[in-house]
Amino acid sequence: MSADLHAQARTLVDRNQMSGISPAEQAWLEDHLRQCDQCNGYAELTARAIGGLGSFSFSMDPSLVARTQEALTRRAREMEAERGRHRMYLRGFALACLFTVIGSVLAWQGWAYVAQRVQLVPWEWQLGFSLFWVLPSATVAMLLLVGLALESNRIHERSLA
Amino acid sequence: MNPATEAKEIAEGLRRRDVTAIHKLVERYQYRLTRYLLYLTGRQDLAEDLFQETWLRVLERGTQFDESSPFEPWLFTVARNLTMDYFRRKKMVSLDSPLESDGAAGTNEESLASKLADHDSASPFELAARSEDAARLAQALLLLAPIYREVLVLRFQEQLSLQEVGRVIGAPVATVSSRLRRGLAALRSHLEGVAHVR
Repeated sequence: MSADLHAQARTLVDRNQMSGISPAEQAWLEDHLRQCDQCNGYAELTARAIGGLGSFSFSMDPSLVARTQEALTRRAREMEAERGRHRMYLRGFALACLFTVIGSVLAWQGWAYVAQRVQLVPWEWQLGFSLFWVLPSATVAMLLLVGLALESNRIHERSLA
Repeated sequence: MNPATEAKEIAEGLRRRDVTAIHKLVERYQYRLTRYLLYLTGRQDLAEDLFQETWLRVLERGTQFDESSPFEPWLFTVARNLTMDYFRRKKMVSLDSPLESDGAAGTNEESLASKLADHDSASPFELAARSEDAARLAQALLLLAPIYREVLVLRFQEQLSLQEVGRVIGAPVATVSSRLRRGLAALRSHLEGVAHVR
């Protein structure tokens, strides 16, 4: 029998254990193993190795599951609190946007009225409006946005840690 | 329950971050996950720490689980990534370091084997051995690089397919097959009483 046939048989033995082989290959292998003691020994040894792996019986710390479940409950609570803070920032931002729009419309009308009374040209009171009304509102909105971004970043980094 | 329905239910629980559902998963997979981590790290204390970290990561990243595939490979991937991070942080050997040579006996692997051997007088494998064959295999496993140990346990104990094992370790099926062959060869050598493990 040629060395190639033995090599082929051993490859099939390994493949059979790893991923399975076709019925034709199975039939050829069984036939070969009946005739070849060496390859048969190889197949038995492979089966013993795999069977031996299954005979390991690891002991586990009985408190491990309880400790893990406790840690999970704690972390879930922390995550919920983090999400609560995140939601609070979002609501704050949305509210600030709403008040800015409503307030701006009202203030615009008010400034226009006062400007008319004191006979200011439009560009003067509009510049004043921008500096004393729009700029502070935009600054507050930007600060809220930065706070929101920082909070999101912190949550993300914590989940990666 | 069929596997698809089961995966869907698990995904639903993870999406809702349902702690009770995750507690049940912890109970259900406790032995298999610990066993995998033991094979990967060779240390009981480290395996238990990583077990806990794995479940915390499952809680935090549960939304990433794809319900169209089974839960086990995803769980083992999470555990494996954490283990690799641990080894990188500790500047120990990378589990993937022999990937390029794929089986060449490297000093890194020997260093890990000696670290594992030095750690306890009896390794978790030796303690777990219940037969003469298993006792020999325990010695072989201790000397075997983690990349071989993990494919052996994933394929022959966790019964994952070659594709699933590939997904867990992030390697093509050809690499998985090659590692399995080398791992099996090492185990056979030890069973025969031959000294050359790798």
